[in-house]
Amino acid sequence: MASVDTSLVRKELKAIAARSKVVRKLLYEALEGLEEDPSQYSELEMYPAELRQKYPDVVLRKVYIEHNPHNYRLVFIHWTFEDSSEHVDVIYAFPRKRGYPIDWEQVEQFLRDA
Amino acid sequence: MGCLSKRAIQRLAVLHTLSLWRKGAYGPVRVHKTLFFADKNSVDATWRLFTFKKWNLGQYSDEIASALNDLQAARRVSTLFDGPSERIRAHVPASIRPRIAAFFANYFQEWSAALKPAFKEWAHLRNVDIINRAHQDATYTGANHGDTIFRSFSAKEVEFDGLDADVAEQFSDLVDDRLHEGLLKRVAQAADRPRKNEDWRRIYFGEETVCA
Repeated sequence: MASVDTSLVRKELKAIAARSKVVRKLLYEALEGLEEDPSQYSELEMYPAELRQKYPDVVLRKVYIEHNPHNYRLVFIHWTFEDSSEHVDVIYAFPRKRGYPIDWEQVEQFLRDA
Repeated sequence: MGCLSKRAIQRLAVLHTLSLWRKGAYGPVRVHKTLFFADKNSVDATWRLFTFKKWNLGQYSDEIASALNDLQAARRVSTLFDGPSERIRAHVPASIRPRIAAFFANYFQEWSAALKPAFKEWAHLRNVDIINRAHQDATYTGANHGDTIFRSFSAKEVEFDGLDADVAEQFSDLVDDRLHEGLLKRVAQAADRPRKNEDWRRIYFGEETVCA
């Protein structure tokens, strides 16, 4: 079991949870999944080398929350410690149309509405 | 199906081209010229990747300059001052490099085919030879200072049939300077604070914690 900290994206997660019953359920399952086994989610391959050098223990992963027309991504840090304990920091939660670039204007609008 | 913005396509094209120099490109002039002649010699004139104009050092593109700056902000390009010039290097994970090459080979076939001879011809000349030769080209002699020579395609976003949605997202993210700035900032924030286990069930779902 991993400990989970979502305080960096509190406002965003509250907004996602309020979208619809199905999305709320999917968010619940996603957070439960993070707690149970964060390594089940795929790694971000593209984060900067600078980040890898500075924080060699950091693994960034992403979660899809999708129920059309609602598409969201959670990006989280998966920490694993020497005593084998695990911790998750959710650092991004934003809307994203599948297969499309991140629409930062939409993300800003989402944050304003949250 | 995947979709890429015009700016992402241009950044990927610059990144892909820069990756062809094993030790990095000596200065931006050869990058502009290699990309110019790839566009010029591409059969498909309706899909030119960059707008070029006649400028002091020959055929120059503001869009390439902008892509280089954005890629530097996204930590995908670095410059090293080495001798009389700077060396511009691309930083792309080894797993993603062949996917970018395959993307251009599949969807920008003519441009991709024209890039190879353009690179061979222009990539390793001395700067003075690059400028002299580029100034003799008809696109330069036939234009006035500041004239637009080629205009890049007009679409803001392009949908690609058969491009995997995950791969499209990966490409967009790879060259997204804003995402990278955000990641650096937020990872630093998370790393600098004590580890905390939140009761997320109560915070978001109004449930009481069941487990200890």
